[in-house]
Amino acid sequence: MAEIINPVLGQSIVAAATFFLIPTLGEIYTERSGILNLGIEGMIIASAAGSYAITFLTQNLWVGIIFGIFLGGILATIHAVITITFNRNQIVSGIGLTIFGTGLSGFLGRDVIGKAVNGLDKIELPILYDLPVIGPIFFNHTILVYLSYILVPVLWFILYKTRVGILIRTVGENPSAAFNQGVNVRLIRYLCTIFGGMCAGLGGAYLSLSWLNFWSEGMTNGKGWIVIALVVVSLWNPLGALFGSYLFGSFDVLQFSFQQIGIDTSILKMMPYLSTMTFLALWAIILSQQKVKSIVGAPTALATPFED
Amino acid sequence: MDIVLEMQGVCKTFYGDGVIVKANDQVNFNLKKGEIHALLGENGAGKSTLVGTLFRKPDSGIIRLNGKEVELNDPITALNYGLGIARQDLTKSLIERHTIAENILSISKGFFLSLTEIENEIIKVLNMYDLGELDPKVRIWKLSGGEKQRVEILKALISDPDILILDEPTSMLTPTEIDNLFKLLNKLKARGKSIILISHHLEEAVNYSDRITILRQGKVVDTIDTHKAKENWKSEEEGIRAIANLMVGRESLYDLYREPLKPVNVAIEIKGINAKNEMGDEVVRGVGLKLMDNQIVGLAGISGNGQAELVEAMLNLRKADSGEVWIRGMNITNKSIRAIKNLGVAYVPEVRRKALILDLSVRENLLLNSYQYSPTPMIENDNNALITEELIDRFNIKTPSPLVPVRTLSGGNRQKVVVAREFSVIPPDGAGLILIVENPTFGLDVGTTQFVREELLKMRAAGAAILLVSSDLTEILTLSDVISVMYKGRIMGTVDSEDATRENIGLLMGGVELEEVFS
Repeated sequence: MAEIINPVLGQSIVAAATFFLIPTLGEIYTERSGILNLGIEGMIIASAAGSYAITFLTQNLWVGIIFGIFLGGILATIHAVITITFNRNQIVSGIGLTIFGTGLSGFLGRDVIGKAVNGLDKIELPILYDLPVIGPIFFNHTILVYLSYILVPVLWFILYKTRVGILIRTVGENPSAAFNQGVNVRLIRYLCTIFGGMCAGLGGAYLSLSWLNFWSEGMTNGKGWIVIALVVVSLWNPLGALFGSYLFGSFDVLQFSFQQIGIDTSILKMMPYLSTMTFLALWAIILSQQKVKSIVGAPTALATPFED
Repeated sequence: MDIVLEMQGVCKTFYGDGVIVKANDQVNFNLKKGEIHALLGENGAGKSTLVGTLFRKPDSGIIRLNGKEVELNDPITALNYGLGIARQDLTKSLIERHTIAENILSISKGFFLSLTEIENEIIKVLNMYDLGELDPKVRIWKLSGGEKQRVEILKALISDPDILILDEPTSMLTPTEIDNLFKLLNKLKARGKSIILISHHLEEAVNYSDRITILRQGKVVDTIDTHKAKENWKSEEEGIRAIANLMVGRESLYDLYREPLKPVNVAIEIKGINAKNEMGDEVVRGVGLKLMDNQIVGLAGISGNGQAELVEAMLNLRKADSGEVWIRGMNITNKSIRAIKNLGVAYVPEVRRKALILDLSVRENLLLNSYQYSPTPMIENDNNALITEELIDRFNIKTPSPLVPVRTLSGGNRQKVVVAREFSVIPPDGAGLILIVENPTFGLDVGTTQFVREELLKMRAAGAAILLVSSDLTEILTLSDVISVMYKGRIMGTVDSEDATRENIGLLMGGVELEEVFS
């Protein structure tokens, strides 16, 4: 425990967790509307390269970040057209998107490999930073991390306490029922999918411009896939995403602490993925209970096309 | 009276599985202000399609509301024009995981969602229309079938529509609840609302409607004024028969004759069965039943009261927590389903998907029970063809060829395939067949229904012991020798068919104790 309270370590956990958190929040909305987007990895990595390259060109961080969000949104729109307008297989389309995004990242980032760009600066929040223990861990970060703090409650509130939120949940649970009550199912699915893509894009920009502040090919190491698992672990709830992301962020960072004990690094590198599988197995056991299933679990209409 | 809704020359065609179905063909229909207009027809006659075109525009045809031509392209336009509908297929209409309040979206407004406001509105409407108790905070999956149906009706009523459409609203309600519903409809009528009622219970149409429109194969056969027609009909039965004939297009309903037989041998006996459903709730509580050769035992009850679980527990398709099942003096509790079926047990499940492999051919489906008796590892096609032809012929299955996939058959013919296969099971050592059938005529048209019922009586005369599980009271009353009524997992009482009436069985189905009913 002492190690986690160590401010430097704590800070890097928060930084790593934010990378998981932002795309997970977006994918939660996408899946809540009934669309499974397996293209997260592709959108993250393409946006990471794109936003880095644009920042390098324009020397303006915000133009780069906005480009990253925009690119994620565009890529998600491709998925939306294929799966919502044309009712095609969501899994195939999503995987295709990941392959495409990975290729696109190589193209967008080919001229900026190893080039330095000034990333986002850390901001010490006044008053909050002076809090004992948690101050230095949580309140000495870039603005994107603070944004993620705000996004969690806001997105939770929208999903559970507003009209838009219940429409999204209805569409994901039973699109026919929603349609029969006059809801524009396709529009809501489009918006949610594009929102999910924008979040993934922001996650990519965060990776290359805030967290790690460089670009190298394949730098996500497939971590985008963990987001898909995180949505399950978070039980499709933004608050759960907070829990899951920080848990997986910890695994990501703590692997380096184990190095000191003398465990081989190649084994440690498996840690995040191994823990992902362990959690999914655990969740699968819990969620397969009929009684649990009727309260929480995957949106009923997830990955099924809506044909009216 | 003013005409509030007029539909002229409505056509709607469906394309699928290589067949083109003209679900509505030049249909003319009108609805007067303040009337209950029943829409009748066999399955697939186009009733639901016709009201569906009010929420999605038809292929062609004109729809006028209060004399003004309108285009109703999607459900929201229809809602705004004051149409409300309670649909038949609740799985496409209610969200199991959400609460009742969360299911009712049509009255929510603005960005923020005030569930309390919706909950209050729900309670207000429930009280106003005497719809009975419903807690708006309860999630749909916790409700019984009848309660879900009431939620669906509530959903239609809450936007205060001028035209209310009810598509099979009574299929899961108890007789008392049905009475209450029609009282409510009369109240609405008095307030100037117009109601379209789709039902396959003809007596509801005869007793409560003002006019009746009958559809057959997508076309209107006739529209009759119920009040005038009643003067000509001597009894309710005669009216029902007249309408049924119009629905089918020929003399179809004749009385089934159940010859008196004296059952002697006990075929199957179950003692004190307890079983749970998927949720882990105990839904079968200490049920005991006895089934004899040459006898039909009717197991009545609103669906969802544990009948399905009881049958599954009997056949070891579901684990029985306690209790025993004896077949001809042999304890078969927890024996494999194969061992049980080898004793001459045939089973027609309610869910036809469980009885058919839709992508296999008619022949392969008819032979599913017999493959294991083949003496060689090879499939004997000549012999199979012979058996299949015989069954297709005897059960009058309409199929272009025995080799087409079952998927291409209509619902009625699919059921005939199941019936043909199961009714032709040959029990060992000349013993009588034990036949367990669940809602065997559910969703079938009048002709096929009659056919299946006749076959059941023939099987009875041939010595079969039949357990007929049905939520259709008419079916139970016409076919059974003995009637057991199931309510909330227990047998409320067993009544001899001579003493059984629609009323007393109906009360038992609603949970009234046997002593109170027969006191």
